[in-house]
Amino acid sequence: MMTRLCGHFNARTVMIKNRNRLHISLDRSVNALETLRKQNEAFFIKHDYDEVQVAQYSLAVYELAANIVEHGGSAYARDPLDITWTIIDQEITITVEYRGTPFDITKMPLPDLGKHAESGKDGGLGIYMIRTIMDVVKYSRTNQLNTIVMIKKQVCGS
Amino acid sequence: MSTFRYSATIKDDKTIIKLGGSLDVKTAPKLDAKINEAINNGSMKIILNLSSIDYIASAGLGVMVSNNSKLRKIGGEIRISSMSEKIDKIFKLLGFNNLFKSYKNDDEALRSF
Repeated sequence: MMTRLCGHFNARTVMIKNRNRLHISLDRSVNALETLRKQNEAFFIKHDYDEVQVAQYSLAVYELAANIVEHGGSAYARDPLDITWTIIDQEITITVEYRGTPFDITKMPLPDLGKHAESGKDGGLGIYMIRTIMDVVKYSRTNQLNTIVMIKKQVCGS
Repeated sequence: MSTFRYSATIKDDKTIIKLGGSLDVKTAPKLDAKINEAINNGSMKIILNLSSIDYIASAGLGVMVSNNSKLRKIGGEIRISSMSEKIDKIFKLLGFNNLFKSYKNDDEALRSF
């Protein structure tokens, strides 16, 4: 297992020897979201996913992380965001763990896009994107640790 | 991923805002400011040229949706032109293609108003 510091974005990438797994521990900052996006895209490009797939999975993780950075609770602002990607038998699992206020994204009602557009709200689409892109989204909480698992099933890559 | 950039061109009573790079949490406020600058200058018909956009997060989409709703109430609208195939496919997968009228290029978008 190697540990490499990623420049000045306050992210530590832990590269696991198994090429089908990646773990990152990120600061909760908007700048760290860019690091997240780069790492996510690089991982899926390495596994030969096409640009639309790469963009989709990048969006799902980015939206979740952005939500946590913004709403995860100021008391936990210095706690890291831990993200693990795993590909086994073409099934993608992305696990996000963070200490923070409880928030079960699986229980949020999804917006009706037409009504949402009419209302002119500028928020609320991130969770919709996550739950539309990924096949399975699970939430659990133990003590103060929130865990979100996102799964995309049987997707072609390498 | 490239740096966010934008430029505006006025054609009669319409404004074309050409965007490039990523529309995300960091850059969405810049788009919001640019759209509102156009509105404050009297333009209610706005075309967003997305040909050089490689990523649209919900923050960017939210700016587009909220401003479109505001404009539609006063007889204006935001329309999209020149989406890349990648962004177009993602919009369709997510159902966002129903949120805006979209055209192949700026000329078609201009004529549509």
